[in-house]
Amino acid sequence: MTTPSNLRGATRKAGSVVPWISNRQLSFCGGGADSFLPLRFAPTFPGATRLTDGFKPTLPAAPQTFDCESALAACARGDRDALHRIYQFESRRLLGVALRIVRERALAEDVLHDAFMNIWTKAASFNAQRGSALGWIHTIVRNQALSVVRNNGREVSADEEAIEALEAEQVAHAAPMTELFEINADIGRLDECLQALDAPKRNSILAAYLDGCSHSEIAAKLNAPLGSVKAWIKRGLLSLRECMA
Amino acid sequence: MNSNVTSADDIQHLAGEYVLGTLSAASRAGVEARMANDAALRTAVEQWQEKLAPLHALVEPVEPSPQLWSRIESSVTAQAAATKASALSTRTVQPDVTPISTWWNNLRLWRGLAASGLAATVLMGFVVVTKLAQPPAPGYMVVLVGPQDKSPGWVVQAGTNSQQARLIPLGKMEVPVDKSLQFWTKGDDWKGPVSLGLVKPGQSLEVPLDKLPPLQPNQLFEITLEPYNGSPLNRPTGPILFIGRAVKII
Repeated sequence: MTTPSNLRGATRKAGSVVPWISNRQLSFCGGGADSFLPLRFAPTFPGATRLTDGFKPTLPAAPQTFDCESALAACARGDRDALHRIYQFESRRLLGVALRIVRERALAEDVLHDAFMNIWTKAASFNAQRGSALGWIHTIVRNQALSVVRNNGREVSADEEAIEALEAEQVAHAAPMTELFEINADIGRLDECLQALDAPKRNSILAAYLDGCSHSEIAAKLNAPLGSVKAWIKRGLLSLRECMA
Repeated sequence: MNSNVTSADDIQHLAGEYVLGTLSAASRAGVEARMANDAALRTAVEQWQEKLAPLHALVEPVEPSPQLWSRIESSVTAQAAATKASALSTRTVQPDVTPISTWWNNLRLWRGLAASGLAATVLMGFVVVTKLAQPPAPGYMVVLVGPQDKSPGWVVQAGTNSQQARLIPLGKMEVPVDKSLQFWTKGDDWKGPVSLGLVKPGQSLEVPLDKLPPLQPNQLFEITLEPYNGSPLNRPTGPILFIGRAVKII
């Protein structure tokens, strides 16, 4: 590794330089903020508390008696009770999804509000040929949450302290990458395909999908060069596609 | 992400990154606009959505605050009242038949158009009052509004039999140096939008219409954000910035 020239005077120890950190931004995506978030899987980043210790799933498999597709069709006809039924059935999971991405309770509720308005106004455009009704609803919520974090530019500038902390962390944990996520629910074939990936690819993909992290946020979170993260995600996606084909 | 990727692998990669959520706001908007016309990309996105959806099972549910549903309900009520007032917004959708179905099905857009109709009416009143002394009023007027906030950004005026339309800015806007604004129109029965050329922010533009069929009521006009010097294809590839429909002026 070469010594970076623009680390703004951050203290460096031999062998611990992170040349790519200088121009990059650190983010709230992941990191310490995880500790207050409800997780069904734990951050196992070195030193992190394992929140899943002793965890037992509180939700049984979703009662699939709810006919989301019919409810959407009713929404399209202007039936507001149908929208309420969707809300009653899925809002807790949807809020969980939004909260993981936007990380602020009030913001997550705003996301859910806007998403339900979208569900209401776009219900007529749902097409069962193109995917499940529940998947469609989740996509709307995720898109809404992602547009909030992408448009707000959630990133903060790296300060000296953060750079040092990251370097120190790198020294302490230069070993093989640990798992950031633990899969504690039955997600079927996707689980096998994720397990077939190496840890960096798996971590990158899960951090992106579940926490709404951008490439640079993942790079900060994994303490890895941006180029590597991009390559991991690209190859990880390719492997997943082949595995799930 | 550039908008010219064509290979199947590139499309899969772009769709995968889009669904993962790693793209910037601008790239996301680009993909969404492109999906409207690109069936392969749309299919790839839908496949990735299905593949990754099981991951939601990993997220711990969170109980919403009791007020949240009331908020949604009152917004829906307000919105439903607005919809009732607008015949446009109840226009039926055409899920699969048209490649432009994504934005075509966007009710928000139609509401925007309804709002633009209202804005056009208001503006027409203004024009009629201020231009009484002038020769006959133009035959058509379009107010182009932002699809999200519905704020008017441009006005199009054209005479009924005129070979020209005039695009007039209502305000200033910033365009990134590597991007251009492009002006498009589409009649109800046309196959796709037709480019009316590049637009400079804050500047009026005279647009020749002699190569096009006569203007029709309800004809769609829009301004999209495109790569520098315009879309590489003969259709919009970037996000819609302003949109509106022609209103006939008596």
